[in-house]
Amino acid sequence: MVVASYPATAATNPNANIAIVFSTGGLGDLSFNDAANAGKIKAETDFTGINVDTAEPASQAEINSAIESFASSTEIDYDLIIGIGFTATDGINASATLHPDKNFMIVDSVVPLSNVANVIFAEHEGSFLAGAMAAMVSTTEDIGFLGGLDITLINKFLAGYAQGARYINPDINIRVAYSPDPSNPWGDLAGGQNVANSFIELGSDVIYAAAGGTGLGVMAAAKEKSTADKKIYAIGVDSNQDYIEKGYVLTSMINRVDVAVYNQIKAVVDGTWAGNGDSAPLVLDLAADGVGITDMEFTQTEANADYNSTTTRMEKVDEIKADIIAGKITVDEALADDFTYVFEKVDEDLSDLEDLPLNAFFLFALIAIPVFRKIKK
Amino acid sequence: MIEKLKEKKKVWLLIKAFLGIEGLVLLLFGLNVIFNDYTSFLVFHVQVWRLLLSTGTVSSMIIYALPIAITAIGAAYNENVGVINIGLEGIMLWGAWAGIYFTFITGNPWAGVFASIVFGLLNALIHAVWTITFKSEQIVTGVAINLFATGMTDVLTTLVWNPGRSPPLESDVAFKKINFYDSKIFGEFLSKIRFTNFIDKPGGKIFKYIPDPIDVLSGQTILFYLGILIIPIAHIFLFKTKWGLRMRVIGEHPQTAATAGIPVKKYQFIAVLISGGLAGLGGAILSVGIGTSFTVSIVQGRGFTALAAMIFGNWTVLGAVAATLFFGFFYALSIRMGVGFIYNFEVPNEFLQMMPYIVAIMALSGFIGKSRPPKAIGKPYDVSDE
Repeated sequence: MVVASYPATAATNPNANIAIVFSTGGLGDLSFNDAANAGKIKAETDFTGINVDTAEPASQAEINSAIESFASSTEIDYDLIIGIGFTATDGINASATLHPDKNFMIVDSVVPLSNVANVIFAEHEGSFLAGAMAAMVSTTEDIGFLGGLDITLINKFLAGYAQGARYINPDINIRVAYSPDPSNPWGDLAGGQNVANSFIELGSDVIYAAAGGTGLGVMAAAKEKSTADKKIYAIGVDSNQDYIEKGYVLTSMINRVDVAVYNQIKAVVDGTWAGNGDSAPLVLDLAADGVGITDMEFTQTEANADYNSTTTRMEKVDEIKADIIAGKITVDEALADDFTYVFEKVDEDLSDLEDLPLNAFFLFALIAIPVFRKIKK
Repeated sequence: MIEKLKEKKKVWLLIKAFLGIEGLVLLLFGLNVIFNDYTSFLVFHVQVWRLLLSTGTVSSMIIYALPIAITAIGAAYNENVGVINIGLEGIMLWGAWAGIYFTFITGNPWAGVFASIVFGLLNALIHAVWTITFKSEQIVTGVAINLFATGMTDVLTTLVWNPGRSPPLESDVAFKKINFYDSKIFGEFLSKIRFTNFIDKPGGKIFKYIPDPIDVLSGQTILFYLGILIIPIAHIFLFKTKWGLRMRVIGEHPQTAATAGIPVKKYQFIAVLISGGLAGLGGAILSVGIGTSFTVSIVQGRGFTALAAMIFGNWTVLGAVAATLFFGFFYALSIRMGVGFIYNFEVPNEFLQMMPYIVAIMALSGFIGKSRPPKAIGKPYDVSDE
């Protein structure tokens, strides 16, 4: 097997071969993969000479094998193999170790190898803006968050969201849940709807979903549970999802995956591509315009409502954004362990019970056991 | 005294169920003490019982259970004539897909439901011809139907809409959600007897803690209510009519049935077709009856759950329905406990997510008692035998 080797910085390469391996949600997830696809289409129109091959794996194992088959392909010598999303981490890691002469890129995860370019997003900064907007819109002072899985990456969204909401309203309740079906965390519409309904029943009126397709269930629930006098909103994630349920999706926190993919393809074509696995990954943050929230096309009345007498809500968000870029507000990637999400008010009926000693229960058990034995005889 | 209680089977079952739930509460409390901190057991206990009996829990239990129950009824039919059909998962998927697709192209959700049933019948016909006429291995044919459905619906979804999912139906095309309190004839009366009205009245506090049956059922589509109606009809047909009796005899001993002059293969065909039609309808309820869109993972094991529920329910219609409600109950509970209906409850989500399956395993391993399948199950009927 003869494999031509490409150094990290090659000359201009207008006929580059690019391979993209999408995440398991597949195209049409109106989210990560679609955003990556938008970047790919933009690159294809700008650089007509390039050839982009894609794979849409359905499972984790298929992702790994798709990456490996692109890396070991003898027919086409790929100049850059792109893995979308953290699900590609293991596959990129394995293939990049096996083929040190090939170049890889991974969005949203870090692989510490010199032939890999890591691009990550400062999702917590974008989520901070979403949280601030949610806190301004919520009338019940109660907002929800639905994550796909309880992992560091998803909790980054939660951390930014919670900090943003508390920045506007320090007393706001933040309810947190994750996808109910761990075998299908990113595509469980019914589960997302169920969780959202529970949140709404508990009093939340804005729910942020960082759970891929499961989030579509949250949008459906927002539409279903909204009444004339009480509106429920969902907040979309990763790409602009405002149009899915028009008027019920407050805004979307966008990761510019398209920008990341486009920039990397451009770098390959220009010959300026370099791996960064052995140094710090490239972070696309608010300042680099890599994250942000949408302009709320279908919820303009909420965006333009007064935050206080001088500024509207959207202007307040822009103010916060400027403050974050200027470093006046720092957004942490993780919350403290003792962060209080919900300020619980114990039910009136329960507060009597709370004073009761547990001894009463043991007393009951002590009486019940002999009685039970007697019955048995 | 215990022995006397054991003789009354239904009372004993209730006692066992009660003790089972108490055990579960104790287990959850133990987990909570390990992972979080000590909270008052009484408060915890009261909260869990309140959650168990809340309107929201019961309503999401029914929503989860109905499509599975309809499919499980279908499974009860074909297994009672001795044919195993594990292709029900695939048939449900076809039903869900056809429901959305034909609603989109005709603009009428009833056409979608009709198409779902037709797709279910077609798949069942394949299964019937292969397993009854050609006596092929029933499991293999079922697997083939499942694999074919998974692949084809994925391809067709990609061809027709986007890869992976359809767009949501427009609200003027989809089935309307029927709110009982808005209805012209009963609306006013029903609003008056709503449980929430009585909470402030003396002695009305009890209404705060029990599910409101009208609230539970209100707000679904017409297809959903028709689905509920199918349950008694299917039960009466299989267990109270001569045709149902013949089917069950065939499942026990087809040779005997043939000796008595019952056309065995005809009845087997009919039962398998009924089961396919019901599974297709189950898929339609899932996609157009409850939701408004199709995703390739919409069924995600619900067909297999239906088979498990049917076995759990001892090959009867009502048993199968009860079993799906049981699964649905723990599904609803696991979601609602995870989102913070209980104060100071911080058991990791994974424990809650495994709860329905742990309970199912515990229940299947002797809690309910031994289940007994029809004797001739899985064996193709051959006239020349014996």
